[in-house]
Amino acid sequence: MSDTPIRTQHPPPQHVAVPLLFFGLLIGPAAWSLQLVTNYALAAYRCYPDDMPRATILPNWHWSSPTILAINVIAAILALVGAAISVQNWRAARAEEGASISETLGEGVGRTAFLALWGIMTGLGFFAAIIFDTIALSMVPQCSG
Amino acid sequence: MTFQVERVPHAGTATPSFRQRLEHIWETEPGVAGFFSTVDHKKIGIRYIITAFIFLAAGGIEALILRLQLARPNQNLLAPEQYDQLFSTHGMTMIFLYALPVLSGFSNYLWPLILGARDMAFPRVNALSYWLYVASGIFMYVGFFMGAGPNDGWFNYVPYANRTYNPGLSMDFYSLGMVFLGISTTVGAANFVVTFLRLRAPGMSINRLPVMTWGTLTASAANLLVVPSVSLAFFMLWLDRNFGTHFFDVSKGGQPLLWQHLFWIFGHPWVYALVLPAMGMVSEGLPVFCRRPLVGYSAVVLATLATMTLGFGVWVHHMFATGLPNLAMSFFSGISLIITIPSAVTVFCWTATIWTGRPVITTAFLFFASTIILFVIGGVSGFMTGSVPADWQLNDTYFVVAHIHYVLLGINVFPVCGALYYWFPKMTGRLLDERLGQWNFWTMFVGFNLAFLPMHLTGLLGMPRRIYTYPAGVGWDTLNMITTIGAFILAVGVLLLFINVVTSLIGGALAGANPWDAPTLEWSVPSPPPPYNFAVLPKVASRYPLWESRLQASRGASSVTEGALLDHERETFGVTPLDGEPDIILKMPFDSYAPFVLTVGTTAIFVGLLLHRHLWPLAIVGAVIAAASLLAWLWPERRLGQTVEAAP
Repeated sequence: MSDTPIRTQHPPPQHVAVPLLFFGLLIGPAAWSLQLVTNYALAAYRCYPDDMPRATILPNWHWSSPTILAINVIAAILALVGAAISVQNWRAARAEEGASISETLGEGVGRTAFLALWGIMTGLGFFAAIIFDTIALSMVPQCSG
Repeated sequence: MTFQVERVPHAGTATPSFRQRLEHIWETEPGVAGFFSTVDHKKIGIRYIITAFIFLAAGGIEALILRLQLARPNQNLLAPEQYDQLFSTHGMTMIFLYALPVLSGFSNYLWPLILGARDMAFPRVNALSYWLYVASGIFMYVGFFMGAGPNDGWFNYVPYANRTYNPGLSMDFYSLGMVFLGISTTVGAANFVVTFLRLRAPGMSINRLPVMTWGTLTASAANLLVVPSVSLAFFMLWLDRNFGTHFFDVSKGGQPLLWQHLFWIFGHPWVYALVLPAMGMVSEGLPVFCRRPLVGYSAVVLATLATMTLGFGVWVHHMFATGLPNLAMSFFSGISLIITIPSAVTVFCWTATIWTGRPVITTAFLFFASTIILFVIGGVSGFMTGSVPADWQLNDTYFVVAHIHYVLLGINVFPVCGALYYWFPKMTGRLLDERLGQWNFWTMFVGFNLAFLPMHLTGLLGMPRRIYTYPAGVGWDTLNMITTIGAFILAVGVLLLFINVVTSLIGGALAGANPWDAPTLEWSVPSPPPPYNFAVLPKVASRYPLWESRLQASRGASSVTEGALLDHERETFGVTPLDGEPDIILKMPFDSYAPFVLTVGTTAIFVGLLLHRHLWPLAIVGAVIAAASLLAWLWPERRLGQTVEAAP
């Protein structure tokens, strides 16, 4: 048993702020979540039964379709912003950690590069999910019967 | 970098006397006292696994009886009410008492070992989680044995669950039992999340975590968010049934659809919670038998998280036939389709791992690899039901029964069996028999597919779910007979697994520390591991600490034989969540009866609530016992540094 204090070279210096890293990572899924629940509520409200006094619950209900579209556009932009910020984070992380894509994916070099890479994927992935929802606006009849 | 901790721990290698001291500090008292007081994650993990397999056997026997009833048309083996209780209890058992707990068992056992820690973050909470699980399982099964098991499916739809249509105690047992079980799930999930964030080996930054842990983390985080939804739903149902509230009573302004929303907001993420940790096991074990690292680690981890996130947005696809507006449903349909993308990413990574590796065909490999096939079949049928028009045709037919079984057996039971073959040597020090294992696998694989593949056709031919018998001559007879034969073959396969476990425990080949030449930290310690897990806390410099020499990792080397020496009572490192830098020496609690006694008190509360018309004082007694045990649990202890020392 020796008396040497433990020293490691880990982690490498970090020049990307953690809040920015997580903003890029989470803004896409957050935008998607909000647009989904809002879409559902508004779309369901359009089909409220005729014998119910819907105007007293939500005046201007007939604006729900444009509102859904606007929400989806904003959400899609936010997801792309998340991806763009993550691209910036990824470039900064590569410079500071000297890690290539294969090293990040394979050896796990650099937690900043790792999280930035995720941010790019979540931003683009949830952008696609939001577009899927938006397409439905033009293809699906709003109410049954 | 140096440690920012209260005292600078010394580094070195462990001497025999040092190991002896750790053994003395960490070992559980033998006998009955130790049985009820242990907080050792390894013992708790194994108990979880054994208990879950007991429930699997019970659920399996129920399934065989159901299949006997359905083997031929117009059978009278079961009366309609008996059939209802049996299929509902089968669902409850498999989904709630087997599928998640067995994964919790593996994670409980493996996490500290694979993460390089000496225990879970909250060892006593871990014990509490197990005891509550057992107690709630017994609670619900007491109802079943009294003839008051659930009889409305595992999803328990109202209004049939309301007292008007369902008098007696069936629904009360199930409602309270689910709230009871929810406490266990919640405290267990919180323990996993904190352990993931804080109890890891120095150097294990977030990009170096073993892939298996991500599955359990996402499942645990999801459970923390969704279990309150179902607990609330069941509690509201219990109030409706017992205290005259009208949450779900249409005649009094209640909303039956509210039940479905609350249940499926929980129910669908729960399904992912049942498969993602198991997929993590495949991602961990499969590459070992392909003799190469997992292809696309980052993509697989992100796919896991993306699946869970998207999984929160698909619950309405269980409600497509309830008359919801088209456009509203289309949003959930879109997500139900797009969720296949992350699932496919994982499948492609597994396939690429096999394709580019040098597979060694062991039983564990067969179970892991077969998961890919079963996952694809279950995934494709799920994709079909994600489409609203297709779902309207398939809803409430046997097609959906086939789908759920491909998902839950294919991506839970098969990976779990693989995990058992893979980690059994670590748990017991002995290898499971390979020859019997091959028989075990092929019997299960053939039996399973014989039982459930034709069931898709049964559904497409229109056979509805949840009917206790059917008339002859409508085209379902032969298919049902084939399914029943397959179910019995599958049961024989499971029996072979049990036989293999027992015989290997007695006379299996000795395993040694790393029989598979695997790369992660649990294989660096003896099999079975000592009570303290690691004599010296390892330092990690890559994702595959034991494969670094052959992978030629260029950025430092991990160390498993030389590291921090912590032996002032029960100690382990707390690390920073992102970088895995040690920032505190954690004092871990000693064994305690408090979790068990708290479970006894909680059980008394639930029994008192169940029989509140006659036995309500029991709930009060239970609350007093629970409060006393919590007080004892939280009482400051000098050994844990929780008391103010007298000034010198």
